[in-house]
Amino acid sequence: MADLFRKLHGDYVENAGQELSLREYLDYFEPLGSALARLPDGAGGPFVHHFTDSGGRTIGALGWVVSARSKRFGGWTLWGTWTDQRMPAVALPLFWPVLADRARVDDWIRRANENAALLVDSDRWSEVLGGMKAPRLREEPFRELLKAELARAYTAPLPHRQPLEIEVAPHTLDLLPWLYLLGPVDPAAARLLPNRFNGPGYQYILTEGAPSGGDVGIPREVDSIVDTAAKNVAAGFRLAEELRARRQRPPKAAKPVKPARPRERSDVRSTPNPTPPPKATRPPAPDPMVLADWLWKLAVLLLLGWIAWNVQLIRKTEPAAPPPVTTTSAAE
Amino acid sequence: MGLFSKKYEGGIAKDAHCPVCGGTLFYRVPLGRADAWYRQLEAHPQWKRYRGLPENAGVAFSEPRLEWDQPTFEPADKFTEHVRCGTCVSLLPPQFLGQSKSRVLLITAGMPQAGKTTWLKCLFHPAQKKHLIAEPTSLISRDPYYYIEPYTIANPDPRTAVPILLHGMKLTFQRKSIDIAGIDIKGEVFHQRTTTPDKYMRVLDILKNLRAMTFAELFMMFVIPFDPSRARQHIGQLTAHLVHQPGSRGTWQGVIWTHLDRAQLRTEAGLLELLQGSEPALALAKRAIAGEDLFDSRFVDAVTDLERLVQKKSNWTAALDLLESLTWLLYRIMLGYSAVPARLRTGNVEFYYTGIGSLLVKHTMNLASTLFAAWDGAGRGDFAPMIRESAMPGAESRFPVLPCGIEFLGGSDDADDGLPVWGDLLLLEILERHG
Repeated sequence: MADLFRKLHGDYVENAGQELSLREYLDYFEPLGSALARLPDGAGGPFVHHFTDSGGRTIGALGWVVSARSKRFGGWTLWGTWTDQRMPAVALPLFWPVLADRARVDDWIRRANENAALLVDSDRWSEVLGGMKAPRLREEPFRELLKAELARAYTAPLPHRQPLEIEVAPHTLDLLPWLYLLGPVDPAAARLLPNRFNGPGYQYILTEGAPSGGDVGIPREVDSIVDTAAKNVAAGFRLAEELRARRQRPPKAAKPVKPARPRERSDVRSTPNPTPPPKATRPPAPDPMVLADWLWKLAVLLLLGWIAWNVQLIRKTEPAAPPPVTTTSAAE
Repeated sequence: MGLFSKKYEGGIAKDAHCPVCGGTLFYRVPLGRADAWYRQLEAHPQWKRYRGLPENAGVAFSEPRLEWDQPTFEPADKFTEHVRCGTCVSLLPPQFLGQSKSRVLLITAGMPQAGKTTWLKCLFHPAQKKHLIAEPTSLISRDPYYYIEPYTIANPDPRTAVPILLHGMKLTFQRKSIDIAGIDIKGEVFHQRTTTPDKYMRVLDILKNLRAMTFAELFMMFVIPFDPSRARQHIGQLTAHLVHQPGSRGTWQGVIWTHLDRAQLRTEAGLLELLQGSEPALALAKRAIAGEDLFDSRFVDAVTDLERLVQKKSNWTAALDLLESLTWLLYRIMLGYSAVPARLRTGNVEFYYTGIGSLLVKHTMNLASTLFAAWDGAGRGDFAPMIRESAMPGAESRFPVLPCGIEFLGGSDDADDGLPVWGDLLLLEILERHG
């Protein structure tokens, strides 16, 4: 049986242009590196991408993309994996520690294929996440940073039709897998890309400065999700799922006003209450503008009629034209 | 819309056609944030369809926040200068819509990294004027349309999946103004024509659409990089039907020969030996090698002799070092030219129009054509039919070769930091024909 996860690689080839191993889908990947164009060679980050082509085939991809500016402005290099479905939500945090290492691609793709059944079954994701080690989540400053980013992301109103912008520095890229897993957008549907796209997900913008966390109030739920995930990723993911589900629910309808006690139906056989005849309502006063418009039209019509009558009079009084007079001149 | 509220909006000629789809209906659009453009694009899938792009593929932008302005897709409430085609919703620079009598159509095609974007940037936005022939002056001014959808002049394209870019420039020469409507065909279209055939087919459709368009002149230019190894694939090697499209005999086809700055003096002895037959040419070469001033009263004789000697020699394949040395000499002449107006205390344009300048440029261009033909013959002869045709008796002009190169600043090799050398030569060609 063919492997579910296949190797993906792309590079800028001098005098040839951007190339990709998934050749027929280059157009879908072309914008990936454009946002990295201004960054130095080798700077970049992860991508979780999916799209459906015109034939209805869905492709999911996961990997790492870096600027290849030295070869060409806007050129990029990427490595990772692709599959014939959306990428499982747990794949990014699971392979995160090795994702940036180009030399280890074959190794983690092999592992992904060995555990394919586990990865694609969302009911078993807690198994995957349960055994996941998350050393960075145990660092207090990192957790605070993550909480601030998550809090900011959760303030974005629903529905998430456009990507949420996340500013990250190269040394805080580690935020991304956790933001993706625990953030407000369902990771099964989210894309995580360095470039702009239409749809739910996260667009990260690589900057040199550290993200400005700290000035955001951390909601209790976010606090709880991150602290729980630090102890047990699966439990933290469950909390995030619950929060996302709660946010998706329509807001509770306002308490209905207690209806007035219905009147007793009157028995048709009983003597009907004589209903008073409806009051004669006065017709609304005509709008002065409408009235003026009608008067104007009437005046124009009268004027036209008067002109036509006068023309008729002139025609009647005009004498009949005399017969034409022809003159001849004798030749000299 | 009432009978009396219909206003003449101007700027769109009755016979205007969209170059992308051939459409004849247009509408005006307002400016909005590029982000709005990006979102609205989803509701107008024909924009991508007419470019051979998958409808749900993204468009590349080098600025991640998309905060600049871009003409959007929704019709404007009031008059704006930005016009879209009613069929394919392409943004059409005003130069595509004006009167055909004063409109020149410029199509550039080349493989990736042929130097096309650098050349176009030089044409629109000459940041440095040291090596330009027609720098912006009161005599000649260039007024480009700011938007090259989906990009702008200030925010140039990164590598992109968009196969064609439409650009426009109003060229004012004394009291006459010429609209230059440009179609930039991206090199990737040709390189990836088997993997993304839709884009390639769309480009061919566009070339067909041009038959329905009227314009004063068509400049179909192939951008070919100088490549002494002859290993690089170039546009001339690709397809004959591009060379012959759109088929009109009036089509002015030529070459923008880029990267001439890469030519090296490979064989000084060989060069001098070849030029033994002409004393002025030999003296010119010696002055170039010594780094001295190249222009004297015998310059025209020297270049004419150079041409003759190059044409006389056969089997250039066995003498590529010599041919590269001659190309090096050509580039020295181009560089040297830019110093002459300053020495005579006059502007570049004024110098050109005194007559001497145009004479020097003309002879240098002739030498460039001869050398290009020699390189072509030493390779696969991709442009041989065009060169032969132009050399036939009664031909209107020689096979035009516009040589250009780039001088880098402070050791940088980024094209943005370079001074284009003769990159604007085409402007002079246009002005000579229409000025």
